[in-house]
Amino acid sequence: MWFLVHEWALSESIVSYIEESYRGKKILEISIGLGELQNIDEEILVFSIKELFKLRKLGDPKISVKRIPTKLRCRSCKYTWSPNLSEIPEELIEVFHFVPEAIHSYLRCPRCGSRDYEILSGRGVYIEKVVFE
Amino acid sequence: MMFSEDPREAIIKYRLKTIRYVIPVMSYKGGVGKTIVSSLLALSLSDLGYRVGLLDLDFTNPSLHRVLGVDPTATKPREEKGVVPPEVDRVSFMSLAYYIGENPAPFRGKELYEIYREIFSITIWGEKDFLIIDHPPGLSDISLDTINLIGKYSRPLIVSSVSKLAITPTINLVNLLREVGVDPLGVVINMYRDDSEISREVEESFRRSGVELLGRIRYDLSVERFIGSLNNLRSSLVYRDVREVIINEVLKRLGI
Repeated sequence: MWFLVHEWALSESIVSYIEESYRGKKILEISIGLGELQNIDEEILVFSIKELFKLRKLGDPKISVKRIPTKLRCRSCKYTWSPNLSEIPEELIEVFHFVPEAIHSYLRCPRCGSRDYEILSGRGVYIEKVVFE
Repeated sequence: MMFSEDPREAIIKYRLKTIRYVIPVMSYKGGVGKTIVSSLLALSLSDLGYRVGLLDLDFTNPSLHRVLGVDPTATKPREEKGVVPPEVDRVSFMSLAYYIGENPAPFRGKELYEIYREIFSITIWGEKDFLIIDHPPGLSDISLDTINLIGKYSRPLIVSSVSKLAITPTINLVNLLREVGVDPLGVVINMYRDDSEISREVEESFRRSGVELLGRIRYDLSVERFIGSLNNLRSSLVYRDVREVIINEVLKRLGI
């Protein structure tokens, strides 16, 4: 069932934030950044945001989504890389879907072996832009 | 308009709306027994018939699941408009361990920031009387997030051991919470020994400093042996003291 997955919870954060920040304004457009590492289902996310807007009587804004590739940088040797997500086992992709930072428990820097690296991009769901009147 | 604020922070208060009392279990000094106290608080409240949630915020070293005897690789939260924590002996239990298993978890502040917000925004607790939240020691990222993001919805319980090294940090933590308008339930003195001069000294120092004392939990070596078995833990002195002394004081202070 679409609305039963955890994308719903992420959509609630976005809609609650916009609702509180733009009280009394008409929201025309929302741009969402979607980190590739979190493997969020874009269709379900957009559906959930639209449903929540409808349920809370906040209008029907246009929603655009930009996918952000994963980039990691080792804090020890400074190496920067993008993991090939298609080579990562399905059960780990599922884990990163809920908590992207869990990647530190499974993947190490391909150059020096450190787990002390930074997710430069590719985690989470965030609001890039809101257009209102 | 461009954004710098985190939308996940907006949802935290709604996620906590279904919970009557949120009790962060905190300490400034490490090794005072927060994890055992948190587990037994949750267990005692549940045994008294309350609906209880238990959350492990010690992300770099989650260990509540070991106390509860939960294999985090075999159990997973259910996905339902977020994630619903599994029940362990009637306690809804949430931990990062479901995702990282028993692997190492080296996190700096940036990662702790993200995990904190992610866990709070996706966890669906449902109707609960209590949420007990175990914290890592100290006053860095996790405890500061708790103070800033959920402090005003919560009544922290502070754990101290009977070390002289615990006195000043414990008093500092209580005062720091009060400074920002967070009202701690009080201090629990853990690993108390009736035959020890230091135990009395520590207790006396707290009395003189004006911190609220909830009571003592007696030192009980058997706890270490009982880790992983809730039924055995129920037979420990620690469980008895939590249930007969600490819980009564907590309920009294909450007006229950």
